[in-house]
Amino acid sequence: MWHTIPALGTGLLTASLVASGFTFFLAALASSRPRLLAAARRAAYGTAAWTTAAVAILAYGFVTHDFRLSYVSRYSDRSMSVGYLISALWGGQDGSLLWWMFLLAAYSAVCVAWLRNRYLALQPYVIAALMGTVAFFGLVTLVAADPFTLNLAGPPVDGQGLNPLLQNINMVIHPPALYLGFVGCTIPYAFAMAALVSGRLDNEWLIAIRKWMLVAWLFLTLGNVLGMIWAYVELGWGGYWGWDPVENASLFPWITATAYIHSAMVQERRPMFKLWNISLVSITFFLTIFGTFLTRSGVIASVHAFAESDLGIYFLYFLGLLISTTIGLIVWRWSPLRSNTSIESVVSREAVFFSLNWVLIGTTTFVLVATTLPVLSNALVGRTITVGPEFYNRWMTPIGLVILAIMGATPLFGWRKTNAHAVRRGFIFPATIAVLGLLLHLVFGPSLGLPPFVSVTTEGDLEPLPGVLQYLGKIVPVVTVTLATFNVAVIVQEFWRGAKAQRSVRKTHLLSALFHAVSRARRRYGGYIAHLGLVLVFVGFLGQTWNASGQASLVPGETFSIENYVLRYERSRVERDRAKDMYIADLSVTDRTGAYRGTVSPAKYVYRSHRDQPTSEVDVLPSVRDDLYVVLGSLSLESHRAAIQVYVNPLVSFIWIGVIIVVLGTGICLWPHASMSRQRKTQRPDDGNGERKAALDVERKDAHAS
Amino acid sequence: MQASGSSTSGWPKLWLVMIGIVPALGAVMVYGLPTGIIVVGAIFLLLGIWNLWVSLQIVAGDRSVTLREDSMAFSDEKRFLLRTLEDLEYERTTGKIDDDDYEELREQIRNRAQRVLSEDETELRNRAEQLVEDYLRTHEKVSTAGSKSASSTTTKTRQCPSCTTENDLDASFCKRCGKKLPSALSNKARES
Repeated sequence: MWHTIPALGTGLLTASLVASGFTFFLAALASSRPRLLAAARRAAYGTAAWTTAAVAILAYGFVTHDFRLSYVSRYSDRSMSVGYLISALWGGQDGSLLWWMFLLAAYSAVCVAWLRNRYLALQPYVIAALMGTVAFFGLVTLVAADPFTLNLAGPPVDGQGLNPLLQNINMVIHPPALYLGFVGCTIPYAFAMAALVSGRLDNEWLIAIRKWMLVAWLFLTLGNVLGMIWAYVELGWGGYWGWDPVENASLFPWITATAYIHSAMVQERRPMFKLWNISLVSITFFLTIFGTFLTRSGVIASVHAFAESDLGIYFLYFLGLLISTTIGLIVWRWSPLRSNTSIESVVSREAVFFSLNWVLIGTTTFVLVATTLPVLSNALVGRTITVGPEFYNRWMTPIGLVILAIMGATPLFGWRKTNAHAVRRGFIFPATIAVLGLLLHLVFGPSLGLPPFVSVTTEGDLEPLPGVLQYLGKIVPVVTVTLATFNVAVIVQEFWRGAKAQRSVRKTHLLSALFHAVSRARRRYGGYIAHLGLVLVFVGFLGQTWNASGQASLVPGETFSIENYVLRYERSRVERDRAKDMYIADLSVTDRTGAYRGTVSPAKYVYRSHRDQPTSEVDVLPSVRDDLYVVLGSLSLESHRAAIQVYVNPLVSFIWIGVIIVVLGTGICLWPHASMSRQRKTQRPDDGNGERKAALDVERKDAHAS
Repeated sequence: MQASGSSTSGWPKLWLVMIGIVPALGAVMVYGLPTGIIVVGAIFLLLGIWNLWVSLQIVAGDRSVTLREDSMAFSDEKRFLLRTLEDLEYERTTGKIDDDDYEELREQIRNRAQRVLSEDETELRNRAEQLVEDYLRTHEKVSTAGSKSASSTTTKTRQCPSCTTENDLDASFCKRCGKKLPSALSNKARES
C-alpha cells in the first residue's frame, strides 16, 4: 500500500475537486428543488470527508518521512519532532493551499450541519458559494501546487527541513488560527450572496451570520496576535508589528470585519445600512483572497511571503470573478438595498457608526494603497516606491486616536438622536475621569519614565511632518492616556448603569444585579469587555513611544546598563540536540538599586539542515511596566565575547493582557443564552409543539417587555 | 420551501463518530501514529464514499427525502427581536433614548415581530395541513387497500360451510350439496 500513497493523495484531491464541483451544481440548481438540496447537503459532507482524507494522506507522508513526495522532502527532515512535522503540512505553498481547502470544506460541512432545515430559501446559494470556493482551491492545488507531486530524481536520503524561523510553537498554532479566520469569512459572504440572489435582503441573513462572523473575527484576532508574538520572539528586531505586506494582508479583513460587526447593529434595529453590510461582508472576503494573492504571488517582497510563484494569477482571476459577480448582484438588487430611512441627527448612534464605517474603510484603503505602492507606483510612474514602518506609524497614530475616540463616545449616544441632557449626563463622569487621568499622567508620568510629551524626530528619508501632525506627534502619549481613561470610565459607567437598572427591578444587591445585567445582554456587555481589552492594546501600542535600545559587546563579568536595568554577562555555553546547535549567553539582570530581577539567556540556533541561516532566539524578561528584550548578535567561542542588542519595550504586556480580555469579551458575546440552549434541547427539529411553545414564550416575553 | 420527503440532516450520528474514533485510537496505541493517521484517512475516505453514494441515490430518486422548513429560523428572529426590545428598554431606563424615539423604534420592532409571528403561524398552519393531508392520504390508501382485499374474498365467491364448495356471492343454496348458505352479512362479520 505504501507504494500507492502519492497516487492515492492526488486521487483524493481530484475526487474532492470533482465532488465539490458536483455539489456546486446540485446546490446552484436546488432552489425550489428539495431533492437536489438534500443531495447537495450529502455531497458537501462527502467533499469535506475526502478533503480530510487527502490531508491525512499528506500527514502520513510527513510522519513516515516519505521523501518520494517533493513537498515532504522540501519541508521536513528526519530530525523534526512530530509537532513540527504536522505543522509542515501548512509550512509551504502547496500544503498550505490543501490545508486551506480542508479547513474551508470542514467549515462548510459544519455550516451545512448547523443549517439543517433552517433558511431553506438561502441554503442552496450558501452551499453553492461555499462549494464554488472549495472547488477553486481544489483546482489551484491540483493544477499548480499539488503537494503529492513526486521528486523526479527519486527520494533523497533526508529532507531539507522546515525553515528554522518556522520552528517555533507560535508557528504551529498561528497559521491555523489565521486560516480559520480567513476561511471563516467565507461563510458570511456565502450568506450575503444567497441574500442577494434570492432577494431576501431583510435581517434574515444578518441574523444567520451573527455568530459566524464573530467566530471568524475572533480567529482573525488570535491569528494576528499569535503572528505578532511570533515576530516579537523569533525575528529579533525588537518589535511585534513591522507593517510588512503579509502582516498588513492579515490586518485588512480584521478591520473590515470589525466595521461589519458594528455596522450590522444599525440594520438590526433600523432599516438602514443594507448596502454597507453587504459590501463590508463582501470586501472582508475579497481581502482574504487578496491577502492570499499578495502572500503567494511574490509581487511584493516580504519576509513572510511564500516563494515567488505563478499561483498569484489564479487568485487574481478568482478575485476578478468574485468582485464582478458581487457588483453585478448589488446592481441587480439596487432598489431593495437602498435605504428608505436616513440618519436624523449627527448626535445619534447611527451617525457614529456611519463615521466609524468610513474611518475603518479609509484606514483599510490607506494601508492597502501603501502596501501595494511598489506595484502601483511602478505601473503609474515607472519607478518603484516603497514605504517603511515609519511612514505607517506616523499616519496610523492619528487614525488610531480617532478610532479610540469613536470607541469611547459610541456607547453614550442613543438611537435616532440624543438630547443635550442625555449627552451631558453621559459625558460628565467619563470626562471628569479622563481629566483626572490626564492630570495624573502629567504629574507622575515623567517619574515613571512615561513622559506625557515626546520629541518627534524625522527618520529615514521621510519629509518633515506638517505643523499640526508634528504637534500631534509630540502630545500623542498624553492624548492616548486621556482617551484611554475616558474609554475605561465609559465602560465602567455602562456596567454601573446596567447593574443599577437591574437592581431597581430585582431588588437585589449590586453584584448579583451586575451578573443579571451581563447575562441578559451578553452581546452588549461582551462588546464592552472587548472594548476594554482593545483600550489596553492601544495603551500597549503607545508604549513604543518610550522605547529605549542599546547594544554592547561584552566579555564574561562585564555589565551593561539601560534605563533601570543592569545586565551582567555571566557566561556562554553551547548545547546540542537532534536538530541544532545552540549558542547561548547567560546574563543576570538587576535594577539600579541592585535588586535581582532575573536571568536572560539569548541564543543563536544553528539548524543542521540550514547551517547558513542561524536564528536569533530572543529572551524576554517581562514585567507589567516593560519588557527587557535581549538579542544575541554574535558569540565568539574563543574569547566568549558576546555582542548583544538590548531593548526596553514599555507596556508590551498590556497588549497581551488586552487580547486575553478581547477574547473573553468575544466569548461572552458568543455564549448561548441558557434559555435558548434549554429550548433547543427540548425542541426537536420536527417538533411542532416545541416551536409552538417557543412562539408562545416569545409572545409572552414580548408582552412583558412592552 | 416545502416538500415531502425527508431527513436531510445526514450528519454523522454519535455512534458513527465513535466507530471512527475507536479504531483510530486503537491503531495509534497498538501500531503507532502513522498507522493511526492512515486509519483516520481510510475512515474519512469511506465516509466520503457513503455520503456521495447517498447523494447520488437522492438525485436518482432511489431514496426518499423529507425537507421542510422548520421554524428554527423564525425562532432565531423572534429571539433576536425580543432581545432588541429588551435592549431598547435598557436604553430608555438609562436615559439614552428619548421617549418619542423609544415609542417609534419599539413600534417598528413590534411590527417586525408581528410579521415574523404571522409568518410563523402560516408556516405552522401549513405544516399542520400537510400532516393532516399526509395522514388522510395514507389512511385512505390503507382503507382502500383493505376494502379491496376484503372484497376480493367476499365479493367473488362464498364458501359452503358443510362441503367447502365455492358458490356465487348471491347464491342462497350450495350448488353441490344443496345446503342453505349463511347470509352475506353474517359471513362478513365472521371474516372481520
